[in-house]
Amino acid sequence: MPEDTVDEYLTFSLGEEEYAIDILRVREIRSWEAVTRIPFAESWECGLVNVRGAIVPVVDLRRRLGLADTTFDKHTVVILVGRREGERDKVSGLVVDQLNGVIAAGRTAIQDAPHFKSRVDMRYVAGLTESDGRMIILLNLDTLLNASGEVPGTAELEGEQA
Amino acid sequence: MAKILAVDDSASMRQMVAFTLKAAGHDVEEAADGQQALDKAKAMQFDLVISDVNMPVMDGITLIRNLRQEAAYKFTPLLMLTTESAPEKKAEGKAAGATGWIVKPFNPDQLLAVIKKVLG
Amino acid sequence: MSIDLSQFHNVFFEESFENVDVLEQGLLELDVDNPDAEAINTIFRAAHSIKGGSGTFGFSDVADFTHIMENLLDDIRGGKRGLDQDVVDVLLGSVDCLRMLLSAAREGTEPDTAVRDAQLERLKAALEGQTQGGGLSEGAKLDVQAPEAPQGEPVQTGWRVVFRPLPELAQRGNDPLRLIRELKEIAPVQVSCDSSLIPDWERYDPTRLEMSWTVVLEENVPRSAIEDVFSWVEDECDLAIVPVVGHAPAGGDTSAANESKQAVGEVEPKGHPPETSAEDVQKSSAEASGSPDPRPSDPVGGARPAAPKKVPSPTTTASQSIRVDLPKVDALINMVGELVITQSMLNMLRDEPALQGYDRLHEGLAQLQRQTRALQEGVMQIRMLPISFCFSRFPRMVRDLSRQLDKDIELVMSGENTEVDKTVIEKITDPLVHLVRNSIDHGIEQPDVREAAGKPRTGHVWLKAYHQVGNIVIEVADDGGGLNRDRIRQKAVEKGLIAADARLTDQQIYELIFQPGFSTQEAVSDLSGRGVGMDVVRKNVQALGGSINVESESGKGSTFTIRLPLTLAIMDGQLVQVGEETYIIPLVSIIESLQPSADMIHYVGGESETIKLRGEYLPVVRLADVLEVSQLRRPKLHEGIVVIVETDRRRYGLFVDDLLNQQQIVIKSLEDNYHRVEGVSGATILGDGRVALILDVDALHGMMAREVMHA
Repeated sequence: MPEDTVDEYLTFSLGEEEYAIDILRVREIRSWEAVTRIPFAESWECGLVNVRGAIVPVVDLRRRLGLADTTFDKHTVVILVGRREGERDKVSGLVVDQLNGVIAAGRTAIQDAPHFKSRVDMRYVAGLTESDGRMIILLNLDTLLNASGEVPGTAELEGEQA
Repeated sequence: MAKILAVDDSASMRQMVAFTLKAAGHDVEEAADGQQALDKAKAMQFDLVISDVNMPVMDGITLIRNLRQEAAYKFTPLLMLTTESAPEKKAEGKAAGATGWIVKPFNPDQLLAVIKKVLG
Repeated sequence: MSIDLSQFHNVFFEESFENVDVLEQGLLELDVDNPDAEAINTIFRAAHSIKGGSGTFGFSDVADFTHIMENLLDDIRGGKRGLDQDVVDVLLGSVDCLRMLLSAAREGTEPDTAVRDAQLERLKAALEGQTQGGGLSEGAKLDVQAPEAPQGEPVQTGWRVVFRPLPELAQRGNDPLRLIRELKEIAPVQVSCDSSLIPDWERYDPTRLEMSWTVVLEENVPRSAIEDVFSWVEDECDLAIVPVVGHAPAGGDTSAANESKQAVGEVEPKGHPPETSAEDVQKSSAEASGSPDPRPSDPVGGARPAAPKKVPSPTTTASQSIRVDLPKVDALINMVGELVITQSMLNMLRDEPALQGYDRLHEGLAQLQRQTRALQEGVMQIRMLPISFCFSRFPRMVRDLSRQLDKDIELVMSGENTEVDKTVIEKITDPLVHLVRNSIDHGIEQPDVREAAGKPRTGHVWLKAYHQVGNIVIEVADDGGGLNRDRIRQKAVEKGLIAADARLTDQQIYELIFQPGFSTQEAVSDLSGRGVGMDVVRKNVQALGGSINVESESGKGSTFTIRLPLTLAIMDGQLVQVGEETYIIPLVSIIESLQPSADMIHYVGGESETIKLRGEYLPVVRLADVLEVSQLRRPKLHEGIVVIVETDRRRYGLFVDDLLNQQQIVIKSLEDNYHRVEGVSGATILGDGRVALILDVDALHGMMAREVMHA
């Protein structure tokens, strides 16, 4: 049997379901704090926060995935993740209900998304995996953090045309 | 020789100034605070006033400000005795109308050199 | 004269020991790589006081020793020698020795002469070290800038002092003639007086001094000696003290005065031309008072190749500069930015009821605010460069282009020494190149055409820079044909920018050239470049937070005026509240803020809100509407505040719920982690740590105009 590549994922909950993102993309975990509204932003872009002097946009992951809204409180968590946009590395915040932990999953253990029926918009799902019998949805941060929902590079980046 | 008013609340400093100036042939009057000095200056015309800054009753800056408002002292050299440790006093004094300053501590020669310059 | 001074001895010793402490403390705190002029002054003064006192009271051991120390300190203070750890070590050793000498003098005992002599040797070695030029620039980060001399080694032959008293100077009992007399005591002088400033007899007031003097000192005396002469009046006059440099010692009959004009221009990178403007003079007087002049040696700040170092000739008072990597400066600026935020956070606490009555706390906070601001200004100053770094390319460019076009053009530049942020210089260069090219290409006519129009064959292009309340203004002007109003109008109609029957003022027509895609030159010239129009110039200027205007007169020429903020990272902002949101309006854009009374409010076409202010109808933009801020209830205009703003000659009102405080803000880019947002020029962090958006008042007006059209 060929050697499987094992990656680590940070898992968290949104309502009843458990999600995961590539741990290499995670920069920092913060608790929820009030954001500053951005004019003309997408409904799932909650606003801007100050991260040690840097201005960082925060994404409401529930809204982004088309799940029901919930209220944020000080137990709500914001995961700062890195993304690449054009030539620049940028940071975004993701609001999630609760952090669960880190799992390791071999690439062979990840199934393609379309085989599973979910309320979640499949464009943002990279695959599915299991941990201790729980189903975990792996998210595709590249489509998730892009306004059009397309993979960067194929879509026009809003306001980034020099 | 000039008529000079020496103003200082410290008797020793005042005496040193007066002594030095008298020894150089000037006519010197003394005052121990700003008010005394102002009264004397109004009663008699001086060619030069040398005043300490920190004094009871009326301080040197107020004295200079008051003197400058007197027509008789509009162009008269008014010098203050300051210390380097209080540079803001210089600016304050200048704003009040002081001609310049002599930095304490000074020695009789320095004092005389300055007086000579001012009186021309 | 025999005056018994022994009664003053105790005072003298007390003070001297205090001064020794000041000396020691000052030396220990001195930042060798970036010495603070005031710190050096303090150290110098302490030594100077000890020397003066010990001389008076007859403690010659102390006086002689301090004298040597003072000489060394004076050289450092005057910029004659650099500062390095070795010099500080020698000086610190001297402090110990001085303490020993003072103790001996007070006790009336013999000082340890062996220790003293050894220390004197070290001091003298340090003093001579600089005259031989050895060990000064080598290894040390201080990079003493030697003037570029065309031939030979420049030698300072004296000083040129331009002294213009304020008219009130005499009313403080000072006499300009006394000052000149004192200069005469220092060195042989040549004095010339400019009496052209004296007004007519009718308006002549003998108590006011309205003249200026130029005194050339024909000997290279220490700068401090000249400064001392003017110390009483430094705030009551414009004073410039510039070195006179010749290529030969001031021997023979070469008059220093004759040499000075040319030579001064060469040695002073900033240049103090003979017709020194008041601003320049004041600047020099600031330099004269000992503040360091951070004058980076090249525009890139560190990219200069390691050319062989010039050893400054001993008599040249060159300006000193340190080369620092830009990221270090920017890190410092960022840190100060954070400090500003912390300071504004503390400032917010001032109004806390629990903290009332703590006067010293409040005083401290006020002081912190002043100091923070001063620190910030100082730090921003490091990034400032004279705009000559950008202007210097133009003489060559104008020469080449005018030859290419067979035009006769003279370029006149002024204000090259105006300082502006390095980033501004980098980003303004392309737009300026474009404007100057436009003037040469389209503005100035062929010589024959000019002659036929009764104008001199030689055309002029003026490039001017100057400061104006927190802005730098750059003008590109020409005496060419001016903008062709009819041609612009026709083109704008063709391009669909305006209706054929639109009624526009000349000014409005001229402004059309900044519209995207506008270009009047039919045959696109290879000089001005295809497709790069004035819209790009305006965009670049606006990206720097600036604005550009044009004025033109047919047959007389055109003037483009660019206004830019001096620094990019900081501005004064007015915080406003709209619904639950806080926004920031740049203070420079605000003319006034008012709560309109009902009778000021008018509705144009029953729809658009306007207010009538002093006879002028101004459109009102509801910030909540353009920025789509949710409001529970739409307030009436007289219930809130209208902030009158001005951009590029457009005035309008921005309607907000409330005015909050004004504060200095650090501008952060939204694009670092997000992207541009229309109507927003950036963001900042408020005292409470929240993010607030900075409004782009120019864009907001356009957004409202569009909304009205779509409505």
